Amino acid sequence: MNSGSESSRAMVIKKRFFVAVFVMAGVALMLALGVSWMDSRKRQTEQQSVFESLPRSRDDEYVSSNRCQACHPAEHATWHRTFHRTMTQPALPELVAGKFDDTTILSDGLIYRVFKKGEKFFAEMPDPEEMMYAVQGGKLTPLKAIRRVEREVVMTTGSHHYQTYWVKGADKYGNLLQTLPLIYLIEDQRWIPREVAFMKAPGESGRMISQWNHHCINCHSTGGNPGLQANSKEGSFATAVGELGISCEACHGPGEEHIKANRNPLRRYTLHRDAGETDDTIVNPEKLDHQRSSQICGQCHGVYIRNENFGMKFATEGVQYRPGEDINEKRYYITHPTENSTPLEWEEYRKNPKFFAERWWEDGTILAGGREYSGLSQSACYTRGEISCLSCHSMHDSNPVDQLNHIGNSQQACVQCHNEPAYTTNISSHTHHAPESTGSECMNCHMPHTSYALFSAIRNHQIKSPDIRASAKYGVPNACNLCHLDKSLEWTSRAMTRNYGTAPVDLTAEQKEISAALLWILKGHAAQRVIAAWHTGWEPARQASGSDWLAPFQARLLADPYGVVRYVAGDNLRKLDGFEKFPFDFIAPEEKLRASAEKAVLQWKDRAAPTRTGGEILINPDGSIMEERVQKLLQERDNRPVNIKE
Amino acid sequence: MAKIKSTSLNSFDRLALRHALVGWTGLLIFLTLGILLEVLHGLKLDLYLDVRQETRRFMWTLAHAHGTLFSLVHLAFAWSLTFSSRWMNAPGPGFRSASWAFIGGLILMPLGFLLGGIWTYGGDPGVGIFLVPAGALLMLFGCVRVLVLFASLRNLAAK
Repeated sequence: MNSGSESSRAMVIKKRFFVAVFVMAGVALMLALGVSWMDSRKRQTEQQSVFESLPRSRDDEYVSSNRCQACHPAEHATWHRTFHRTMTQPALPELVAGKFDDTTILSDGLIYRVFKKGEKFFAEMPDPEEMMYAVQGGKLTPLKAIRRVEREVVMTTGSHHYQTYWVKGADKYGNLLQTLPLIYLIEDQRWIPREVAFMKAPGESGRMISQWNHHCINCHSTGGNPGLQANSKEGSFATAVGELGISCEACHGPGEEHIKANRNPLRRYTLHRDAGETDDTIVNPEKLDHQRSSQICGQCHGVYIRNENFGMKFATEGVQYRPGEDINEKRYYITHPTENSTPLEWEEYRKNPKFFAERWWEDGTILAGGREYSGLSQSACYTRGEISCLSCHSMHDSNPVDQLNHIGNSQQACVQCHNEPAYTTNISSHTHHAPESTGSECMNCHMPHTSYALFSAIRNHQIKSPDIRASAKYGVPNACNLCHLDKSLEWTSRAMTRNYGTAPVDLTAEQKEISAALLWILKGHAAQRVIAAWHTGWEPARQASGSDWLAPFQARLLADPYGVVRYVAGDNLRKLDGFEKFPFDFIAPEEKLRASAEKAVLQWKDRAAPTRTGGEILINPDGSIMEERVQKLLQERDNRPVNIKE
Repeated sequence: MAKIKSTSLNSFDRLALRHALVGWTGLLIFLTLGILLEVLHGLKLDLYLDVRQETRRFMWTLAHAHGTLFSLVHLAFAWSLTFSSRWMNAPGPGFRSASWAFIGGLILMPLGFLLGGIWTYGGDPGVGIFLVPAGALLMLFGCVRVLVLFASLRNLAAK
């Protein structure tokens, strides 16, 4: 009996224990769910102000990449990893690269402070609207007298090399976004003022103040519509986008009709069956001819103005061009006149030479990076051949860094058309370099790194042969001397005459005697200096020219008046042996820059004599620098103001 | 060899035996398929895991899941048949048609997913996918048939 009651009591205790455990587990689960819900609510509330300040979503023909993903998962995934997608993003904690850690940055003499409040990003800065009136509107307000305000950072631009930020504009301007004129260098993990991140002539007027809504929206969003309220008193904006960043519909066109039509599975499977057939509800750039296909990239990667009426239409109704259309019907693509151009074509140049100088070398070769279509469309491969951007690039089958497809970085890209033995099995007969050497790589001679953008020399997409005459006459760096850094133009001219039968070029005494690269570094203008400085760190050039003699010349650029030249010089100096850890801050005060330059020269002098000497590279047989000649060249430096609209 | 009580099987038993066999065979096949898919995961094979193969991955996963689930349906049907023999002398045309529908569903639906994943068109599976709705309808038909039969049995019992 006792044992029975004990057993039943034990059973009751056991039951109660399980009930208690069950209840506690339930309470814990409820608590966890509650905390998680509150956290998500808090986050949503915090992010609300960011999303409310961003351009609205267009509710017409654009559907956004989310809708494309369901049927094109692979294409969506391969696009998703690109830097095109992340060109413009909301300023959310997981997307902001910059350290908003109460840092103070001086931009053109004005103070900016970046900081966080919870999960939100802020800047304390001169009132951006007053700055807009003063800088862009010509209102004569002393900039330092502009009142300081605190603005929330709501949007970012860039995610690869650097990131810049946009703050919410005053409410009366609608959803206007004002620039925070600072740049965060992602790899270097540091803030810099915007003016040193671009090739901008020091002391030239024009601060880097802009608004996203009417300018950047064009290329940094998909289906952007500035939504200028032309009748509003203040000129406010009701800006809307198909999507932030460059997404599916930027290249394939608006997707609404395509989605509607392809809800029908029979239509889809009929299209699958007839694999060669084109779905006329959407544009596939691969199925367009080379011109229309390239124009899709050219909608952003080109120099153009909008045709009559389309300027205002863009401001009020948004982007008018649709992929697949002839872009020339809505835009006029500007080209630099050449020696063969008509006087009428030169007239356009004479009206605004600065516009051309900011984008082209003087011989008409494209200089500004990001304007590849303008270069490509002037190339014989395009005008007489059928090259398109997609011959080498792909948005879906490529490395996101340069978007090159599987053959884009090899000879294969060129031998798709140039398949004669001189370009394939007997390449040395054409290149006069060893077959496996970098000198036999098509692109190193025909697409040298003579465009500039993003702290880097980039391959010129105006495909052509090295032109020594253009180097001598217009100062355009040529492929040969950008690899053979130790050789003069005379040496190159002779080689070209010997190997290709080109006419000898008239050269100055200096051009005959001194390495062309050194002339560009020491005496050239800022664009020449930055291109030459970049090549000192380019591995093929270091192999061809040796690198132990370069530092004392590269060092002079550490005190260059242009921030981008200093950055590129410092970055590439560190690629030279013995300078790997050379301390250098390219935005330090002038005295410190000079001290760094001198220190680099002294550091080089302390090392063993270089393996190369000679007048061409301004190094005496005993290994000392021909300082007098160096100083003379520096004094004769071409100090023309250089601005590049990359 | 297992010892059996009797070799005299009634028609319910024979039908139940058929579905037990089909169910266990299906489980063997589709669990093996599951292991195979796990191996593809383990070996990180592009033909299955590459971002371009999302549709294939989805289809084959569905083939595995539906095959396994439908095999269990067959076992449940076999079990239902064994206790139905208590109230009925022989399985009528309802049970027989449900039987063939379940077999058809087990074959067509996973096969449709499997074939649909072999050749894909982006987000669309290959044409094999058209077997899937046929299989789904057969399964649905089988379920309705069995449900109706049991409902009518219940009504008879109530009377």
